[in-house]
Amino acid sequence: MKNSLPDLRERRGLSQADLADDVGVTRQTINSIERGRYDPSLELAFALADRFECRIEDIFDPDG
Amino acid sequence: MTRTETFGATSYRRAYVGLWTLAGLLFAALIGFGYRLWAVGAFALLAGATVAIEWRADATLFDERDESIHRVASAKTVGFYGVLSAIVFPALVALDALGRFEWGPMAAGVAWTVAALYVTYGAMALAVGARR
Repeated sequence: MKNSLPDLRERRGLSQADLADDVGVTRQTINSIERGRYDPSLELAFALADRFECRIEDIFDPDG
Repeated sequence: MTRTETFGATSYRRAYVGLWTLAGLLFAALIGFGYRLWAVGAFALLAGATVAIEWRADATLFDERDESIHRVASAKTVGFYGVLSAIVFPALVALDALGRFEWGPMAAGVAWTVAALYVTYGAMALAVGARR
């Protein structure tokens, strides 16, 4: 699944490790999501959307 | 959170995995060299250290991606040994019937262990399935 996580993260000056800490996962998980190798659970998708104050659809593109 | 704290989480994770690996290797090596009580002591000590690491670390050591990896790896392992067992054990029974193979204590032990593993898996699958 395509996602705009790297853009959103970098725009806020966050490292993968910072974002991982904020949403309670490991840095490796953020890296895998950004590279499109791992699709997060609904719970994590909501946590990411909450962190960036946007909707899940603003981060993830199911058609990607 | 700071970068330093997160780097610490990665270090904790590596230490956790490293200590479990070391515990297993040391356990096997000491048994191999005949130091059985030392093997048990070393294993207990290192296993205790991993529990301490998990308890002390205030960061996420393992998360949903690790669980996902574990699920897939477990399913592949069970599937692989299932196929292997479905080929090997009937073949051994056939060879036994033809007088080309004799069930020794080792082969019988492996067969019973595999059978117990799959009975356990079946029970677990039923229990998990009943909740969903």
